[in-house]
Amino acid sequence: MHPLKKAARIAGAIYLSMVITGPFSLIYVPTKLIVRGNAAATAENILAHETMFRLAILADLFGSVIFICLAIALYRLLSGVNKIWAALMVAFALVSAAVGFLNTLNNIAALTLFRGADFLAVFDKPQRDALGMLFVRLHSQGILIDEMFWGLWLFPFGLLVFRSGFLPRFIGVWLMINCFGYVALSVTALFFPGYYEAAFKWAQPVLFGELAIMLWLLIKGAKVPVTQTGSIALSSSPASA
Amino acid sequence: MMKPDFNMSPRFQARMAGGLWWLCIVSGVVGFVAGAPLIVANNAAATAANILAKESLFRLGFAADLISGVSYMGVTIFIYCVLKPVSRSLSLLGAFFGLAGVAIGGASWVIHLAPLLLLHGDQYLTAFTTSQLQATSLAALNLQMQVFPIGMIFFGIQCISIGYLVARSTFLPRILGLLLAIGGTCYVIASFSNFLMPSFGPRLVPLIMPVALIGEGSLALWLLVKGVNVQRWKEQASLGR
Repeated sequence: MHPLKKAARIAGAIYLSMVITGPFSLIYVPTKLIVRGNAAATAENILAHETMFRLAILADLFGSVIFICLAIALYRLLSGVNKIWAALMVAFALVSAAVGFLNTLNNIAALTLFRGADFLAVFDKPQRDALGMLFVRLHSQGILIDEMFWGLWLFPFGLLVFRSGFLPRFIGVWLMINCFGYVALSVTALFFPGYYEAAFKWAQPVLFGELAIMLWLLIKGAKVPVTQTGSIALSSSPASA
Repeated sequence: MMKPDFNMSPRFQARMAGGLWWLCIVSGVVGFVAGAPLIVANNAAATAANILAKESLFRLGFAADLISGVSYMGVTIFIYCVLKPVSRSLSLLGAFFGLAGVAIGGASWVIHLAPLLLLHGDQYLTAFTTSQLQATSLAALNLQMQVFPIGMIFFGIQCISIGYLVARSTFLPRILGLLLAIGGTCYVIASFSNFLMPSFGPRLVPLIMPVALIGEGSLALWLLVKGVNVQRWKEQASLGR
């Protein structure tokens, strides 16, 4: 297989593994276990499905590690187009992964409080549950902050795709719009929390840009330049009219 | 067809670094000026009343913190590119310290939002008395402020390495590198004295911060206004290869 195509396929495959684990910890588990505003019910749910909750923590950590791998794979694919933008893309991804990694600590704190070890006996149960709920809420706030970076890294990514010559331009544009979608969502969540639900619904079509590039990389790979000579294609600029 | 210059010239990179650096400094100062007056030391009730009365100011402080962190990621990448001709590995090392510093700052963003969750008195928080919630929220703010000196150690080391590279470069004035390295050393000293001598450290900060700011500000201003000497940059770049 042509090295360019291979690099694209690898990036696509890593992307796919993220798309699979993400919804589990981001959507499925929270909607299943967290009862908004009700600490006692949330505590009961989480203790009853502790394994699932722990799996979600693991999926969060796994997702951050995969994100780093994805950024490096995309750097290999796209750094030939422009090194600076590619470095910026990796930087945003690295910090996002670090923020995501640390954010799981909030969920672990919640679990510790809900389980209530002996040393926590100085708090009565409703207080422990309330504190645990606070950490669950902090975790979701952390995700909303991280959403800003999920957006920001897409701008250099989209720009590189647009300019690459071996990936479709419209997906590049879509990714750059996707960037602003996430950033707008994050800003809405942090400053106008009341409008988040509505904004999320409207942003959906924009957010599918990532799905599009994932599928394209996985299925089509990259269009190999006609004037190819060995490994040069990985580091040369697009050769198209 | 018109083709904009996608490959940025070293002067443009330097200007971007300088501009983003100033954005980072200004938003950092705005964040401090907006947030700090709301906190009344050792008085949780007054602090809580301030935050609730001036919630938009509190959120502005948070937003400014976020902008400062994000723009610093841009600074880190552009500075890395500008100084790469001097020493690629040392420049990369500095960039890693910078990104780690931003990620540590990212940890404090979530804690920064905790007071809002605590003080808005969701139903589940009725397990605690108002004064308990206020005390917890002040504790969260104090914890958040402890993160700053931790990140500062990393920024300090980054500044020392950037300063060294600037001094060794032929395309930027040596004195700016020296000033920045002194500033970076000040950051590291201020952070450690803050941890090791909590009664003495905070008194050192007002003396040390201006020195650090002069170092960062003067290099940032030079980069923004003058950029780099492109011809010498190219010479040094070709020597290194």
